[in-house]
Amino acid sequence: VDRTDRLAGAILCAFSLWVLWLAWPLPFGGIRDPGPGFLPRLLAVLLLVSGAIVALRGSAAPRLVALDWTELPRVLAIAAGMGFAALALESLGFRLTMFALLVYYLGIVERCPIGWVIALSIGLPLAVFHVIDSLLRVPLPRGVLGW
Amino acid sequence: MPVGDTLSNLALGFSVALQPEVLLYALAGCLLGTLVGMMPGLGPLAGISLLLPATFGLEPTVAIVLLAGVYYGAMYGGSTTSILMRIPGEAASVMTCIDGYAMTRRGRAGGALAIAALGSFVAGTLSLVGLMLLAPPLAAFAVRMGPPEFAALLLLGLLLLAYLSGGSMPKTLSMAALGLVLGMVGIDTMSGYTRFTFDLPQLGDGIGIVPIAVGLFGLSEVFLAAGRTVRPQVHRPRLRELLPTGEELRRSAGPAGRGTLLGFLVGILPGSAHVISSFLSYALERRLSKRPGEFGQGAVEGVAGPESANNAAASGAFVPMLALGVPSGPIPAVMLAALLLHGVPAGPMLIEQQPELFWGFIAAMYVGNVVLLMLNLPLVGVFVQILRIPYRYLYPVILVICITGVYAVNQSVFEVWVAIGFGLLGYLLRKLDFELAPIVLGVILAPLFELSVRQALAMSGGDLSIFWTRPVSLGLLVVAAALIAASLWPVIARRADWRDRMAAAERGGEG
Repeated sequence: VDRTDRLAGAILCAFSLWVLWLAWPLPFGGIRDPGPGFLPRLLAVLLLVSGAIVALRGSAAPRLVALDWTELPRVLAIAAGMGFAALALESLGFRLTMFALLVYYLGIVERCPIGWVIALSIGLPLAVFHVIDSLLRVPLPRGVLGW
Repeated sequence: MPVGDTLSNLALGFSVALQPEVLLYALAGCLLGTLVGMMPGLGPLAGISLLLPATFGLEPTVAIVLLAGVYYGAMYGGSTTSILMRIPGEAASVMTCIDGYAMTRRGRAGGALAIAALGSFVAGTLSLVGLMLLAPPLAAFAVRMGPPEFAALLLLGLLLLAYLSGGSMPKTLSMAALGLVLGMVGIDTMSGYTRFTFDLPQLGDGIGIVPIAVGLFGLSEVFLAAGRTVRPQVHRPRLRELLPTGEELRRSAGPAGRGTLLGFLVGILPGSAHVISSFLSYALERRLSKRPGEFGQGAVEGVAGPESANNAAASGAFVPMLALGVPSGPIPAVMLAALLLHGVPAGPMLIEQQPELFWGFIAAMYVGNVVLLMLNLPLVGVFVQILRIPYRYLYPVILVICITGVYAVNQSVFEVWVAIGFGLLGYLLRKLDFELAPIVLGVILAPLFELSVRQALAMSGGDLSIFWTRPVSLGLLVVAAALIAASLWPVIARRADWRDRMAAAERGGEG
C-alpha cells in the first residue's frame, strides 16, 4: 500500500465492509418487496467493488511519500479552533465564541498585528450577529451570559 | 407551449422580478456571488450553502432569485481571478486562466475582462431562452414518468456524472456510491426503520446537505490553502482599458455563440457540466481557429468561448432541476434543497403549480445578467482590492461565515461537527485526487433513487423486466450501457481518452 490509490481503495473497501456489517441486521426483503436493508447492502457491494478497482489500478498513482503534508499542522490547528467553536457556541454564545476563535486564528495561529486582531475579532462577530440575528431574524445562540 | 403563452408567462415573470424587493435581492445575490466566485475557498456551492439560512425569512421566489444570483455572479467572478492572477476563483474558470492571463501579461487585462463579461452576458441571456423553451415541455413529459423511468434516469444521471467528472471513473463511481450510502442515513420512509444513526436523534432525518456541502467544498479548500503566505500579485486594469478593440469583438462573436450552444447542451447533463463545457469550448475553438498557435499566448477566442460556455451551462443545469426535480450537479442539488426548505415541492408539477416562482426566476435571471454586466466591469477596481487581502486574514473570516451558516440552518451544533468532519474528509480526498461533487449528488439523490427502485419492483411483483419493457426506461438504460462501454474502451484499447487530455490542459492552466 505504497501508492495513494492503493491506500484509498483499501480504505474504501474497509468502509464498505463496515457498512455491510451495519446493514446486515436490517431486513433485506426480496426482489418482490425490497426491505430497508436492500439498497444499503447493494450499495456497500458497489462501493466494495469500485474500491477494489481503485486499489488494483493504483500502480500508476503517486507514491504516498511523494505527497506534501507541510500544511497539516496548520490544518489541525484550524480544525481544533473549529472544534472549540462547536463546543463553546451554545454555552458562551455566538459573539464571545467567535471573538475567542478569531483571537486564536489571527493572534495565535497567524500572528497578525495586534491592531488587526482586535479590530477583526470584535468587529466581525458583532457585524455577523447583527446581519443574521437582528436583520434576517435567524436566531444565533446568546449563551449563559446573554452574549 | 405556444409562443403567445410563453410570452405571457414571461410577462408574469417580469411582473414578479421587477418588484423592488426581488430586484434588490437579485442585485445583492449577483454582488455576493461575484465576491464568492473570486475568493479561493468560497466557490458557488459553498456560497449558496452559506446563504441558505439567510433566506429562511424570505419568500420562496425571492430566496431562489437570491441564490441564483449568487450562482451566476460566481460564474462571472471566477473569471476575474483567472484573468488577473492566473488563479481560477472556481473550477469552471480553469480554461480562462490560459489565454486570459496571457492577455493580461500582454497588457490586455481590461480587454480580456470585458470580453469575458460580454461573453457571459450573451451566453447567460441566450441560454435562458433555451431554459424557458425546454423546461415546460420536459416537465409536461416527466409527469407521465413512473418509478421505473425515474430509477433509470437517476442511474443514468449517476453514471453520466461519473463519466463526465473528468477524473478516474472508478474513483468517481466510488464517491457516488459513498454519497448514496451517506444518503441512506436516517429513517427509511417506506418501513420506518432507522439506518446508520448510531442512536443519535440528530441523524433521524439524515445528514444535512448544507454541512456536507460547506465541509466538502468550503472547509476543505481552507484546509488545503492553509499556510499560504505568498501575497497575491494582482494587475489592476484602468477603467479606460476595459473596452475591447473592434478586432477582439469580431473574433469573439463566433466563439461566444458556439460556447453558448455547447454550454447549454452540456449543462443539462449531470456532472461537472460548467467545467467540462469550458474545456470542450476551448478545445473546439482551438480546433476551429485559423491561428491555433496563438492559443496559450493570449488568444481572445480562448477567453470568449469558455466563459460563454460555463455561463450557458449554469442555465442548462436548471433544466432538469426545474423540469424534473432532479439536480444535475451539487449546485442545483443545494438549490433544490433550498426550495424544499421553503416548502416548495420540486418536480414536474413545479412549473404548473408555482408559475410565479418559475417565471419570476427566469425573469430575475435576465435582470441578473444585465446587473452583472453593468456592475462588474466598473467595480473591477474594488474587487481587485479584495483580492489583495492576504489569505491569513481572509480564511478566519471565511470560517466564521461557514460556522454561522451551518449552525443557522437548524440551530444545531451537531451540524457544525458534521461540517468539520466532512471538511477533514474532503481535505484528505482531495489530497488523494478524488472528486467531491459525486458525494453531494449521491446524498441528495439517494432517497429518490431508493424510493423509485423499490416502488418499481413492488409494481412489477419483483419482475426486473419492468425496467426494459417500458420504452423510456429502456432508452435511458441503453444510454447508460453505452456510457459504461465508452468508459471501458480506453482501458481495453490502452489509449488516452478525453479525461487525460482535460487533466493535461488543467495542469497547463494552473501551472
